[in-house]
Amino acid sequence: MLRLSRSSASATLERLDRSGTANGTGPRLACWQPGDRYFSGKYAKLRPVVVADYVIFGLGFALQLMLVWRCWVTQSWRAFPVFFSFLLYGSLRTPAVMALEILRHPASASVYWLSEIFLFVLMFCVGFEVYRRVFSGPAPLLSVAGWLVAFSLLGTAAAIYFGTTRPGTLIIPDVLRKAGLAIAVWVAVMLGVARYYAIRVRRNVLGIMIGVGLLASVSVINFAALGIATSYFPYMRYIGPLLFLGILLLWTWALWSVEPARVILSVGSSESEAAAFQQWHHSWHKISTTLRRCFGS
Amino acid sequence: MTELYILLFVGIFFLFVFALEFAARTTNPGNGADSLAKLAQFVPLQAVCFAGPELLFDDRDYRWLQSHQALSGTARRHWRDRRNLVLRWLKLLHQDILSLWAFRRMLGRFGVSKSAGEELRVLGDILFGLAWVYFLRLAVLISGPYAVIGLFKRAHRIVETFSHSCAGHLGRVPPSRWSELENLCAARFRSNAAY
Repeated sequence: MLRLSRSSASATLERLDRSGTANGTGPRLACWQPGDRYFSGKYAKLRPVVVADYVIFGLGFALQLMLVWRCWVTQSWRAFPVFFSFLLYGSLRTPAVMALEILRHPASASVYWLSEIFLFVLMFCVGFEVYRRVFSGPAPLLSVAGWLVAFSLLGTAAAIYFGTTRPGTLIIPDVLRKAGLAIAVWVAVMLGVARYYAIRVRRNVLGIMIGVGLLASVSVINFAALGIATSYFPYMRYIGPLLFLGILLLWTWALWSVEPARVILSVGSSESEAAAFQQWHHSWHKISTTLRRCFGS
Repeated sequence: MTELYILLFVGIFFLFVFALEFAARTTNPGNGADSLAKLAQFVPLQAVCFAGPELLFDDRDYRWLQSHQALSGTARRHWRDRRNLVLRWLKLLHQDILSLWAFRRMLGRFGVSKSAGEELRVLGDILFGLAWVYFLRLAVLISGPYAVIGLFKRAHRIVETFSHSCAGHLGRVPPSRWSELENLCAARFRSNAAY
């Protein structure tokens, strides 16, 4: 879905570049530098869609269809409606973009990039759905997690805002790699908070969360590598899609059967809760008293 | 270009983090069915339960042994043994703090804490406690238990002496300016407390 049409996007990038407003000084829409050596000379033969691309596309499309089918059969689409929409959208988008590319349709580049942007918007929504699932317990925990996520996202936004963007940077890949970074940070903070509070995240949510995090990381790597040098393209056109196939396998494993989002612990009575809290305070006080007794005077 | 390289490495870093987290969580999912009553029983405080820990830092035996020339070798052995004992006790204290931290996180998971601010304050206290015990272990390892306790006692004495000297100077303040001084002190310590 995201990576499968990457190879075919190379030609659309070139076409968009020719029709774009490139003057070499300011940011441009979504294209590589004109006259880039990737699109000429020895790399020119790599541009067309080759058999390997068809194989990867076929495998990915089959896995996506299987995932949609499993979600439908196990009714897990009711539990994760946004993620199901994300999968469904990806399954429809991949063949559409591929078909436009094979047909060399003039709108293929714009369709590719606009659909990619929408995919990232959906990824943010999936992140929010996962967040609500993981921290659906007591209100204070939700508040702590909310503050941490808000701070980390604000920090990422500040880092992106104050970071330098060199002239001639392509806007859409730049926005997408930064959006990927924000999603990766968000997922990492959620995993960190869940680990800190020893929250046991069950298979469905864990798989979705890790998969989205991996997908965001792959996007950051992909768009950063291609921004550094287009000579990375021959490697990234296979590394990205193969990693994406791995993510699809991970999602298939995670969503094969339905499991509750997280274990809701039996708190017991409010008396036992208060007693445990008191015990913590008492023990902490004992430690400070011991330290003071030994070293205080 | 630097930004792109940073992003590339950050992306690779996150890729490994997520892969490792996935491996860790699938191989060891943990036990989620524990209850608070059980958890409370599983917080052993070994160092705190140790009776009379201040005796570990009592240097009277050592000084007595050292005062006899013939027993200087025994004094050295005694110093080494005591240092090892203190280090072991501090290690237990370190484990106690870690156990309490785990217990506190469990309580947080049950929604016991009131706010994010309280959680941060507790986290700060625990990290400070851990850093303090680490520092003590290092100091005891380098200079021995008696020197460390001597250092603390000297520091305490310096603060006390300084406090007495301040009290002495206070006597020279004319009674007419007492209220002004009180106001100044109140303002100063209020602002300190705010931090």
